[in-house]
Amino acid sequence: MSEESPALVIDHLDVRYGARRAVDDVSITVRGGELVAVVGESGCGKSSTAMAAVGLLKPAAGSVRVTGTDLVSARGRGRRELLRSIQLICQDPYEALDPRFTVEDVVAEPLLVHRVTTSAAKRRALVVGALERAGVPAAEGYLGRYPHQLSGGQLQRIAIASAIVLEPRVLIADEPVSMLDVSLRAGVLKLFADLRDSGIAILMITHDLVTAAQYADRVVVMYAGRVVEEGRPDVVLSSPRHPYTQALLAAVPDPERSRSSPRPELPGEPPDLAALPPGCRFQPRCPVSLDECALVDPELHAQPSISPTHAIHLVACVRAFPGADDVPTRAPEAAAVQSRGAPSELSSHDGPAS
Amino acid sequence: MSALAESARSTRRTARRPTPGLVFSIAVLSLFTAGALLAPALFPAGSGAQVGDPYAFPSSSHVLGLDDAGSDVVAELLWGARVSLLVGVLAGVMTVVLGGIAGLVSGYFGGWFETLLMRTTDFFLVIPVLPVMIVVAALYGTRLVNTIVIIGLLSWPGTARVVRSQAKTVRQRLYVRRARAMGASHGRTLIQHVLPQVVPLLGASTALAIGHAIFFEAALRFLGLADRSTTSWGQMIADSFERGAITAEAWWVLLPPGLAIGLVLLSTTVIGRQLEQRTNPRLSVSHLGLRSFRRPTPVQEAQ
Repeated sequence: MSEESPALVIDHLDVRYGARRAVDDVSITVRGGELVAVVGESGCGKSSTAMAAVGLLKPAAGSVRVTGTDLVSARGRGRRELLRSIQLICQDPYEALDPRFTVEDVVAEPLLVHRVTTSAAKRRALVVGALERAGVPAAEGYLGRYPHQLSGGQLQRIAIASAIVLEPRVLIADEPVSMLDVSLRAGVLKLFADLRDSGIAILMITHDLVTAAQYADRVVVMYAGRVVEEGRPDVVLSSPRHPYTQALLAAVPDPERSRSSPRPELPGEPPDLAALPPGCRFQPRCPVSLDECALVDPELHAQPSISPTHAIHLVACVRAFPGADDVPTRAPEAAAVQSRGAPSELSSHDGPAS
Repeated sequence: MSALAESARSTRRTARRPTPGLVFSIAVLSLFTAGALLAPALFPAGSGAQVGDPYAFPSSSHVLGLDDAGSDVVAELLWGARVSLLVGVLAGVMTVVLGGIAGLVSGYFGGWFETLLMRTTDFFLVIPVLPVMIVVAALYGTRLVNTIVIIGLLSWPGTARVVRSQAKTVRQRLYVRRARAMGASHGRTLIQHVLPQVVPLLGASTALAIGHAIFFEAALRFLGLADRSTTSWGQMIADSFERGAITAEAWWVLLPPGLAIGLVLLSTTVIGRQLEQRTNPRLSVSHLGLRSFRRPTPVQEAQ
């Protein structure tokens, strides 16, 4: 297992829309049996990363290696074979399925595209199998139905069935539950967890930190086209080191907080992707920024391991650099008190000391 | 969103009920088609066979009277329908096939290919049809095939434009992108996902194109730019003008072909527009720009 190349390696990926750098030097690795959640606000480049990973967008630079082979430079038959190993699940199941296709047509389409079998009976068996694995009960009864006859949750399961019917190595799920009723989300997320356990590598785009925490093996936080923090969810969520991650966490509604105390809000807007600030991208909004933040564009750095499991925790923040004066987790808040003269609410989740 | 879907659904439901105009149009076209198919059985002598005196008044044996050659106007009309409808259908289909392919491909692929095709379309759009037809008829003769090909070649740009805009919107749909991500080829994506969304529009375009082709054929006949060995409705009109039907006050010779062309053109237009409205309930103004219609709002629907 260890000598095998990871199922999905996104390597120094750049995606540009004209002058706008939607994705800038992003590297994410997902191994088989691993569920990696990419978190961030709208426009942070997480969906562009997903689109580039499945070959729908042509990146300006970088590579997307599926089981060791680059998809970006692949052409013709090789590309088709790679696309067979990596499948996309879209955010909106109502839009993602052709309204003129029956459930059977939808799930069988990848089989036909990749000419898996010429036998209609075998194809139907594969379709039914995939539907059942995707948690569609009594799948045979659904085969002749059309998308408009089904609910969002059912449609998303059918889209998932269509994505797994080819037995792919990698699934890219672009906000797979955000369009679903809250009551249905847990079931679909559980399905992703089961697929992960069956050995598929899953890259899930989400803006829901709680989802990420519950189901992901690793969380990647993106801001303005960059990865700013990455690590195991328990580590990232319990001791976030990047001020943006801290802000994201503080924005999660907390029923225990009293109503009178206002929800902390991050000031300002994400930067214009066509005119990025020279230093850290988060610096203009950062409550704890230092003078050097406007000059230095911080790279991802490994944090000293705080847990005995040797989980890798990467942070792109000057304050989190090894050797920086304030390595302890509490430091940003203290610095904020000093520099701004006001306590930062952003780190209120930080620990019992606050 | 559900309210929108609801209103779209109810719009479709109201549109399903055939309007009197649609029933009438289908009846007219069926009647003429049946007549054209039955012409050899009803009038085995063919067109142009003399059965009585020239310009004989309508009578019980010849309901529409006789023309300048003493042949039955009904026989002429039905035999003429064969040519008129044949030219209409073939040129119409040619129009839609050419325009459909050009529109589909340019709308789907976009980029420089689209620009190239659309500039070609513009070029064909600004060409005045009749003068070109006259030149071509003069250069290549007046055979029926030529007539069909010229009409087809000169009328596809309109269809191409309509189809292109539809293909452009379908291309952006998530299921089209998903098919591409799954590894489907452009050809497969076009045929499986884009074409079915455009087919209803092609149907509407075909109906409209058939009407126009019949009209153009008549115009060419009237100008004497067609094969005289066959008759058509346009030929009947041309003949009645040239051979003094008007001075003979033989209105029964002139009116039937004129009315036939008018009725068929009206019917194809009605059918084409209805198909267009049914398949695109959000369309507020047809591409012909003849008449706009309002989409019933959910409030109006509820009443």
